[in-house]
Amino acid sequence: MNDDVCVEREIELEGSAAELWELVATADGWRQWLVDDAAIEIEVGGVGEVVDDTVHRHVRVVQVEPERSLTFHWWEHDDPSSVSEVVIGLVGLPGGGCRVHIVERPLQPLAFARSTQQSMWEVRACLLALSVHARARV
Amino acid sequence: MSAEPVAGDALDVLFGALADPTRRQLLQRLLANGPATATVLAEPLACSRQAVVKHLQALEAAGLATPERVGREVRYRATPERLASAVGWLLDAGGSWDRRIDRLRGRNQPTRNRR
Repeated sequence: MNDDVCVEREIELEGSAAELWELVATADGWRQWLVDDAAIEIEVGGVGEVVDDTVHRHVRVVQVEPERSLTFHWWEHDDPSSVSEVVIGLVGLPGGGCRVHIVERPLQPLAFARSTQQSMWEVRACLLALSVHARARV
Repeated sequence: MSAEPVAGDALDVLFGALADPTRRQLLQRLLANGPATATVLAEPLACSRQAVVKHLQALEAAGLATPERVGREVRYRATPERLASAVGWLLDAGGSWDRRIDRLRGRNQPTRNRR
């Protein structure tokens, strides 16, 4: 697993954990914010498919703690190596509202879809941009 | 070929390593000229070999260079594949989650937003 490569987001919303759980742990809820379309039963071991910005993904539900957290794995239909783990956590706030914490991390070493040569040019472009930025600050 | 994880908070470590002009210069030379020892890399620079070694170790920690033992020498090789794959994934996934968070926010009135 790529322990240190992850995307993490957090947002505090109005509403109770029970209310937000409907958005987190039902296919209808997923269609309202997570993906364009979803066909899955959100239960441990549940498998299904979603359409995410035209990308078809397989989904497998790993862990469900009602009103607290949902863990699932998903991967692109034609690329099992793209599997990543998503954990969505909910924490009720003392003053009302709920904190939603989301982490996604790849479970396989990141694939090299691009050629090494192209990667090198991307790195060169990155270095050039940083050099220009550094000069602009002088 | 496997990609080593980019250590720490990925982008912070990555761009932290690249924020130093000497490290960028070292990485550019490794990309342009291929693997080299710290001694060779230190020659045109106004710093010691030991300082160059520390810079190379920072690049290694960020997944941007890797040491290779050749006989009695240790040569450093640029590993831009790791940078490209890690940054590509982080940017793609991060952008997707930003859009999802926006939609989730649209379902609700946020009291505060973090990260």
